[in-house]
Formats: sequence, structure tokens, C-alpha cells
Amino acid sequence: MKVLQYISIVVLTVVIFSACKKDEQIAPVPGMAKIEFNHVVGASDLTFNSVVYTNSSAETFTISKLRYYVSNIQFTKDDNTVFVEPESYHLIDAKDENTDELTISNVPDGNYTSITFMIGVDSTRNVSGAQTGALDPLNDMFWDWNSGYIFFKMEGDCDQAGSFIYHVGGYSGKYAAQRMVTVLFNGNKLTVAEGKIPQLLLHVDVASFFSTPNTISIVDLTNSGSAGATSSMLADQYAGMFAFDKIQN
Amino acid sequence: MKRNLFPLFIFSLVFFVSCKKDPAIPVDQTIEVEQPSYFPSPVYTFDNNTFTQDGFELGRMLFYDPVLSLDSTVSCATCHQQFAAFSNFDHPTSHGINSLFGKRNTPALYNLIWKTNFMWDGGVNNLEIQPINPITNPIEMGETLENVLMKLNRQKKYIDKVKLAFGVDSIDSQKLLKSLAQFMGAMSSNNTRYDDYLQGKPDAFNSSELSGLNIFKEKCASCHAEPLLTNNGFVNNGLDSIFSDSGRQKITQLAEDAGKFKIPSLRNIAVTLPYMHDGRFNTLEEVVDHYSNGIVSSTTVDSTLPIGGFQFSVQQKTDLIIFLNTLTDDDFLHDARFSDPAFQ
Ligand code: HEC
Ligand code: HEC
Repeated sequence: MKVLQYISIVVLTVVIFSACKKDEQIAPVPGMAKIEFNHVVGASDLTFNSVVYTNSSAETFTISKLRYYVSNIQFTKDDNTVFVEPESYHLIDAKDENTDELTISNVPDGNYTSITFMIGVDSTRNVSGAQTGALDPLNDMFWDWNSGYIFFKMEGDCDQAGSFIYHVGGYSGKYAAQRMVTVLFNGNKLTVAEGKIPQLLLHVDVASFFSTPNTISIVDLTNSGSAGATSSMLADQYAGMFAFDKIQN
Repeated sequence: MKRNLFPLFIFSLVFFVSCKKDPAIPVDQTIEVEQPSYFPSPVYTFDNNTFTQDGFELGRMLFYDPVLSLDSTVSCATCHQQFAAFSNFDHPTSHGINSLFGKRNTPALYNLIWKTNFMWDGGVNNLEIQPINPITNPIEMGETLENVLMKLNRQKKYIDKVKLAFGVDSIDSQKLLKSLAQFMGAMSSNNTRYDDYLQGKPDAFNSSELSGLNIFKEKCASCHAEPLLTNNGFVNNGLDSIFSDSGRQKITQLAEDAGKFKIPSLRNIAVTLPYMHDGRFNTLEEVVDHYSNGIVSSTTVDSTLPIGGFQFSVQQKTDLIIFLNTLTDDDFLHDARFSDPAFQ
């Protein structure tokens, strides 16, 4: 009897250990993809505080903060089937290299031709009470007096206007500031398959924020701090910041 | 009063006995969220915040703990006082750290799970979110959530309690907010003579009170809708012709919402003075005089209110006030389960 017990413990231990080993060997897990958000100003990489850029209103400025929510990520395959990431809420801080690359798991194998995501947080999560993770109010992306997430923050200094602060949000009604962004891979394919971690690189262009679709003059607009018409207009600006760069399969 | 003291007595007995015998025996049945059958279904359901005795008690400890403020001088209960139905007795506007005054009158807290949104302008959309506001407001508690959590997680009593309540080893922002929501969400107030009347108890009201109720039904209940005594809407009840506080417009940015404020419930109204969003009236007489003779014209004044007022007779005013005085829930004002846990 004792011997039997002893044997079974040994067997169990072996099983547990071998299971652990196997797990380690399977990395990379099938069905993974990475999305990298590369922040640029026109042709140059975004450098915070020290580098002076010029916008389409010929104003010279530096950027001190750029943070935003990317949520509800979907990949579309070449056969038009769509993969929707569950619990898809990500806070991107352009200053923090740990956050500007997202790893998406459990993506079905296949060739993907586009990505769609929301800049902002859907209205459901704005009204659902205390959240954790990317949506924790500790992340300093939450308005408490008019409760709701701040979807996008860009701050900096302008030689002509002084400091500027663009905080954008608003989850419902005519000034809702969520924007759906679809980026086509220009004929390229993101190939998700066992043993691979394909990587999608996106450009996020601050110059585009100031020029498209409206021309933003910092002198005319130094501050946005609540939901409303200004926020909603600025949301149109950030909707256009995201462009395809390349895919590394 | 009497009928509610008995269960309390039993509870204390059970509590002591269980403490002696085995401190692990749960005393779980002691608080539940009361939902009278004649109330509508609540807005806040606890579906994503399972209500437990320990969760409630954690919220209660937090509500009464000045550690939530920057200089440890102000707790939620500094402004929200139980004897005043958790409003701020005799303070026209709120009074926070360093004796700084806010712009608005501290509302009473009860029947919160029936509210669609919070604050005089409705800016807060969920009971769980509400506490972020006073904690981080520079003139209320002036703290940051990070710092509050750090201070709480240094204290064994909080670590022990959050373990019991949520099975985790430290308080994060979500546990802080959800436990406060459990405490505040359990504050049901429904034990008044008016409730006796609603439940059809014979002789609940005398003739003067009945007459007051009838005036109320005719002139007031369109906004202060029965039985909660609010329809949760926002209107301008004719206080000002020019608005120093734009009210609901702050949230919606719509001109049509300028000068509109949340219609408050009138339960416990006799003890929640002063009145209105800026605490301008000190007595119910002044309030009734406003509705009788003081309603002023403005761009957004509610169309159902006659400019110049309802022109009540002296008798009507008296009866209205007599009715408003039947709305006090003494059991709630003295319910030990909602009082400062440090004094028990
Ligand atoms: C300095 C005084 C002060 C302190 C401290 C304070 N409050 Fe308040 N509370 C107020 C005022 C004033 C309002 C209304 C503000 C407004 O409408 O703009 C309010 C509103 C509320 C409301 C909304 C009620 C309703 O019906 O709309 C809740 C809930 C609340 N407070 C809970 C709390 C909690 C929980 C705490 C502790 C974390 C707290 N308060 C601390 C003054 C205070
Ligand atoms: C058209 C809607 C409407 C009607 C009708 C109405 N009220 Fe009000 N009442 C309000 C609003 C809105 C407030 C809060 C206004 C503010 O603070 O700016 C209020 C506030 C009050 C308050 C103060 C509550 C507090 O906590 O400060 C009392 C008391 C009151 N009303 C009693 C009455 C009585 C009595 C009547 C009938 C004679 C009446 N109301 C009719 C909308 C209404």
C-alpha cells in the first residue's frame, strides 16, 4: 500500500513537471499577433519635450504627453470572417514602451487584411461602475465630475500660445467622441499561424492630428477639458492619426 | 422605533454569543438591502458587486475614516451626517479640508440604488463612481486615489476586512469603490408615517396630513413623484432668473439645460436643511413660500410651474408642511448599522 502511494506521488510529480515543460516549449502560442503603435510627427519619430515640431498652422510646438484608449479590436480575414478580441481595452501611453505594443492572443489562424478598433471606450463601460486594468480610474484617464473616461490626452507647449491641453471624451449623445478606425493592410497579409508571432506596425501621426480633417491652430484652441462640441471635433482629428506602416510576419 | 429595536437586540445577543463561542460564525443576515414592494425596481442591482456583510462593513469603515482625506481631518461622514439623513446639517454649502467651502449643498444619502445618476447636475452616472469625486476634489478631501489606497493598505484592519469581503490581500480602487457602494446602497429609508399610509394602514394620517398629501399630489408629485418622491429628472423650479450655477448644462452643454437641477427626493426633508442646490432656504416654510409666491421667470423655468407661484392659502401651506413632516424616518436616522463603527 505504502509503495503504491509512493509510486503514485512520483508519477504525479513527473506528470506535473512534464506538463510544465511542455507548456514552456509551446511558446510562441498559436494564434498570437502583435500590434505596435509607432508615434511620429510627419516623417520623424515623436520625441517628447525636447524636439520642436511645426504644425500646418505654422505654429512651433513640443509634445509632453500622448495617451489614449484603443478598445474593441477586430481583425478581418481575407475570407471576410472577423475576429473580435474579448475584453478589449488598452491604454496606450506613447511615452511608455511597455504599452505601445499590444499582444493579442487566441486569434484564429489565417491571413488578415485589416484591423478595426475604437479610439475611446464604449458607452457600456462608461456607465458600469468601478473597473480595473486599463480602465482603472487610477490611470488618470477618468473625469469624475462628469463621469466618463478621457479617451485621449495630448499635452504640450507652443511657442505662439503657451501650454496646450487637449483632453477628449464624451461617451454618448451627439458629442460622443469614440471613433472607429479601420486600417487596411494595403494588400499585405498578417499571417497568424502556429509558431509565429506576426507583427503589425502602425503609424500614429501627430501632424495629421493638427491638419486632418480640420486645421487646428493651437493659438485658437489651447484647451479641451470636457465632453462637448470641441471634444467631438478633436475626436475627428484623432480618428485620422492611424496609418498602416508594415507587417512583419 | 420599538419594533425595530427588537431585532437589533436579538442581533446584539447573537453577536455576543457567537463572538464568545466561535468568532468565525458569520453574522451575515444582519443587513440586507431593503426593497419595499411598493418601490419600483432599483437601478443599481448589485449584480456586479455581490452584497455581503463584510463588503458592507468595509464600506462603512471607509465612509467614517478621515484617512480618506489629505490631512486626515475630513471623512465622508463629516459632510454626510446620519442624524441629518446623511446631509450636512445647517451647512448651506459643503465644508471640506482646510475649511474650504464648496459651491453646493450636501445632499442627503438614502435610497441611492433607485437613482439614475448623482450630484445636483447628474454628472455622476454610477453609485460606484461617486466617491472618486469627493476624495480627489481639492476643496473636499483633496487626496489622490493612489495615496488613499497606499494609506489603507498599511492598516491591518483594512487588509483583514478586504480579505473577508473580497478574498484579496489588498484594497485596489475597485474594492474601495465597490465596498462604499455596498454601504451606501444599503441605506434604504422607508419607515415613515407616509409609508404606513402607502401600505394602507388605517389612521396613518390625520385629516390635516391627508389634506397636505392631496395638495402635494396635485402640485408637487409631477416632479417629486411617489413613492420615492423624485422622478429622477432635471428641471428649473423657478429659483432664479439669472443662473450663477448653470446646473445640468455643465454636463450636457445644452442651453436648454441651464439652471436645471436634479429633482431631490423629499424623504427625511424635515432634517435635511438647508434646502435647494445652494442651500438658500433654511426652513420648509421658506420652501413652501417659494412655491406659493416666489417662482420667477427665466429661459428654462418648468412650464408646469406658474410664474409668481401657486398662491397657496395659509391653510394649504400649513397642511403641506404638516405632510412634509410625516416623511421623517427616525429608524433610519438612528439605525446603528449605518453609524460610526468606531463608537460601537
Ligand atoms: C466636503 C464635504 C463632502 C465630503 C467630505 C463628501 N461629500 Fe459627498 N457630497 C457633497 C456635496 C456638496 C455633494 C453634491 C455635489 C454636487 O452636486 O455638485 C455630494 C454628493 C454626494 C453623493 C451624491 C448624492 C446624490 O443623491 O446625488 C454621494 C453618493 C456622496 N456625496 C457620497 C460621498 C462619499 C462616499 C464621500 C466620502 C468618500 C463623500 N460623499 C464625501 C459633500 C461632501
Ligand atoms: C417642476 C418640478 C417641481 C415641482 C412641481 C416641485 N418641485 Fe420641489 N424641487 C424641484 C427641483 C428641481 C428642486 C431642486 C432645485 C434646486 O435646488 O435648484 C426642488 C427642491 C425642493 C425642495 C428642497 C429639497 C432639498 O433637499 O433641498 C423641497 C422641500 C421641495 N422641492 C418641495 C416641493 C413642494 C412642496 C412642491 C409642491 C408645492 C414642489 N417641490 C414642487 C422640482 C419641483
